[in-house]
Amino acid sequence: MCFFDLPMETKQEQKYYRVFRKKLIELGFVMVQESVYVRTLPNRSQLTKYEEQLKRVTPYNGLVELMYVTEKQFNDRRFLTGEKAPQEVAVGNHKMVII
Amino acid sequence: MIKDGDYLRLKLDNLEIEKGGQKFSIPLSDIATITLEGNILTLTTKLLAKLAQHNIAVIVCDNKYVPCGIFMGFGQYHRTAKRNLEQVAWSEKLRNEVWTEIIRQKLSNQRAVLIAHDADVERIDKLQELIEHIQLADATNREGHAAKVYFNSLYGMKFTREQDCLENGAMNYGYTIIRAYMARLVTSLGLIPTLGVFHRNEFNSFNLVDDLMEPFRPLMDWYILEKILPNYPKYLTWEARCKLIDFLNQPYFYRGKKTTIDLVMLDYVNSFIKVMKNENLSELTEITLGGIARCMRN
Repeated sequence: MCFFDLPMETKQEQKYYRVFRKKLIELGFVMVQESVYVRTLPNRSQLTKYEEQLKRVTPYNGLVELMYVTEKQFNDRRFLTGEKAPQEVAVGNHKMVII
Repeated sequence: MIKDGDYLRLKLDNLEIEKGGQKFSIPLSDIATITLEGNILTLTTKLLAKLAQHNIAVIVCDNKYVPCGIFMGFGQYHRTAKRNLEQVAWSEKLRNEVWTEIIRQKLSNQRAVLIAHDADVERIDKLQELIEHIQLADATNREGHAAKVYFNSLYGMKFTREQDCLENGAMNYGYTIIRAYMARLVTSLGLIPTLGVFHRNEFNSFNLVDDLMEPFRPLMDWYILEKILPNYPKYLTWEARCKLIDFLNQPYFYRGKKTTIDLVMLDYVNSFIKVMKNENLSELTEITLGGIARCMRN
């Protein structure tokens, strides 16, 4: 799970933001809400691989946080308002996706 | 599995599926196979190229929902040439031994399926006798005899594999799924699929794939008997087809650990490569019905 808050004042900062967000999507992260992206991984050893790749495009200022939770913990989250996106219902962490 | 989607395209290393105005995306690195059904789906060349690079096998079904084509990457393995040379160079003797072993595994699994389905003891013994009489490279074609004993015990004396019936439909569908996945493994590991161990049909471009998938066939038969035929007795419905594809994700108990069929298949092909390289037959992974049956019964 990746949370971020990046400054967007200057042209340069906006560019850094775009590069960063694009990389997130390229790596297979999906947006759950603004500035919160999630990706499921098959095992723990994969964590470093993705972390390393993200580090390379992370801007110097701003705030980017990564949090590792198990699929179960993530699935058990409560919705006070709103609901799961159709993407998450259909794809989620299933081994077989039927669309 | 995608049925009647509208559009498939590539978006930043993700497969984007558009269907009924909704968009779904799946990272390419998470995909092993894609099965496409329905007549109106459109997809881009750019996507096809990327799928090949990621060694994703695409299975296409005809208008009767029967898988009729496989698309996959070629020459994507980094040491293809080395692997190919190994494959050309191995000795006739070892090749015969490997084929004997593959057939032995297949027949043993067939026997296990018969036992699991309470077939006549007489027929089980008959199969056992055939297993014991396998000669080098199965020179006397025990495999063929076993197939007859096996299928007749499961589906009755009149049954043949040529009939147009649900059992055959399910088996053909299921085998195509295994075959496509095996083809993906074989090409992604740099093997030449045309150079088989035993199958040498000059018209078949997947000889090796057909060799390596043999021990897995009885596993699929068992899965069909357990999960498909009792639940979907009339036609091979959409749900039944999904279930057949899901065979690859079934749990498999192997070396004290729980894994899945697709991973065991990968292990099997890797062990086959080791056998070729080290000329040591004992390294071939043993595929047993127990592996899958044990997990599913619990």
